[in-house]
Amino acid sequence: MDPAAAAGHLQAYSKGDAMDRRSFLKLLGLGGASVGVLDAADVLAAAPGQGPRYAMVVDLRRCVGCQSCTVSCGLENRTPVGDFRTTVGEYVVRDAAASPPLVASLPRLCNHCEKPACIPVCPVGATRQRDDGIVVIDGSLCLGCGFCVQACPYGARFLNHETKTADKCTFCAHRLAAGLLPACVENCVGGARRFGDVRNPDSLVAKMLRDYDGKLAVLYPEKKTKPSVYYLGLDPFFVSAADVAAPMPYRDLRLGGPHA
Amino acid sequence: MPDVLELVGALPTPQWGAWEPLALSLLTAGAAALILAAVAAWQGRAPARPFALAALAAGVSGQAALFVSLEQPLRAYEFFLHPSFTSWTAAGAYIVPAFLACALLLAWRTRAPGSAGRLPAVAALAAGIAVFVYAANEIMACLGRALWTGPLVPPIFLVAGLSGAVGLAACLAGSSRLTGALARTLAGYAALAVAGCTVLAAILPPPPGFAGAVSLWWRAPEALCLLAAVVALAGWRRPGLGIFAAGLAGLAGDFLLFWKLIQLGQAFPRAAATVADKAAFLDLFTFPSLLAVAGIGGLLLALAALLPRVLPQKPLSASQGLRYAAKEPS
Repeated sequence: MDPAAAAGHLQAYSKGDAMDRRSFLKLLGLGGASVGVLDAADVLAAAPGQGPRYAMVVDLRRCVGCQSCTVSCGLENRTPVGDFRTTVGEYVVRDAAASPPLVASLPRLCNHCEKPACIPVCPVGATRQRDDGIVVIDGSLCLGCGFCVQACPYGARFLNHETKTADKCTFCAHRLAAGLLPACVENCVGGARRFGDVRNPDSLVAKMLRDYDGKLAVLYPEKKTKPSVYYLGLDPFFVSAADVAAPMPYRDLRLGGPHA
Repeated sequence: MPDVLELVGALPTPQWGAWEPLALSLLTAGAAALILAAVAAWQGRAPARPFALAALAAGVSGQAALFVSLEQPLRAYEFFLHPSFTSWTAAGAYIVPAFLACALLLAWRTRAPGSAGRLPAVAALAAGIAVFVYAANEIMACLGRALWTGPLVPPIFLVAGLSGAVGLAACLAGSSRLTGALARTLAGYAALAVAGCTVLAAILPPPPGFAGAVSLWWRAPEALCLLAAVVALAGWRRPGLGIFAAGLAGLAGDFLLFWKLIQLGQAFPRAAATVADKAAFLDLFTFPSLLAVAGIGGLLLALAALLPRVLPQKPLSASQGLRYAAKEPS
């Protein structure tokens, strides 16, 4: 996409479709109410007779790209500066058939896959999947060889040079054990991140999986890892690993180009 | 398909530094050298000696690089306490020591020309092949790196290994006054192999989706490989320094091909759009990388100098000498 054109469209969009204050407050109230729905005890309650199986649904219609999840995760899990367990990518999407262009956010984290690529490559069994589906790393076993980091198709892992082990999102397993929600879920200002037990038919996640059947997408299904993080409202462009966005032309930005 | 421009993305830094390309280049060089040593030993030919020494020196250096590449090297015992049966890396913890034992055995048995025996040769052949299979599968199991799962990966391992093996063997043979003609032949093969490395580095395609995003830095490893090939082609006929230059060019081709595969393979992010090919190539010239290359290069040099003295060649008897001379180029 021509960056100048993109910038122009964005400007026009922000002027033409500006939301009035009343609409904004209405939406804010609805968003707040929906966040209130996420009561930890309800979300984490297991279905009778079997243990929980956790999953996340990211409602992209509610994500504003504020990075609250990124910041709260970093604070909660004390990730080193420059390393992230979750990030939010932001994109300008311009479809020839639809105008004006949109700004899309894409939160990314460990997908806690049913068939994780990271587990078979671990030479000492330090990476394993718990019964509740959460993929965890045993820091006392991990050698820091980095093969799990390279094997993950989602780039969700990194080598933590402070702990000298591999590191990744655990759905805040320590908070779940204390009956709390993951930090990113609790701090999401738009209530975009929904977390819960898919085996409990009354959980919010199970309801969303039922209600939005056919409309939910996962990242990189061609990798056959069966992710447990689902997206609602994901642009089809982002589904395949082979479709890569154009990078921001940083050089133009530095030189004071059209969108500097 | 819409036009999509990334506004905000977290660009991860490469997770592996210079140790992994060093380890892979030396292990494959050692494996190729051991296979060639086994074939030569089976036929009772002279190259068995420099190839066996090259296999041992490269194998020990490669194992050292592998060890240092771990964030927690002192936990290496976990490979044996908690082995995984799905990981090629775990298999490598058993394959590489077996490979080193076979290389040591063959280096010991080839002290007297033509007396290696067929059983050590068969064991060495199996160990060399096992290292290739382990190392290539270990990298190809990394589903997240599109560059590492392509069809060119096995030929890259093979050609890079051959280049390192003949290069190191040429250097070792060149240092012995008994094997001048052999050293020249090996240096010639090293020149051919490094040319092969250049071709493979040049035809290795960027992952789908990034083809238009790579810069000229993507081509930098093959440019250096080409330079190494020119040096090798210019030097292989000249005794002394020319042969050493060709041998070192073979080792350089091996290393640069793995630099392209491993380091530049990490330049393509999985959760962002910006390709860091320039940074990935120039990482070669950072202080930690140069230190790693100097350290492992020093170890390799020390082993190459030490091993012929620790395992000295036995003098030929008159009848052995006649048989042996009939098989070798003058």
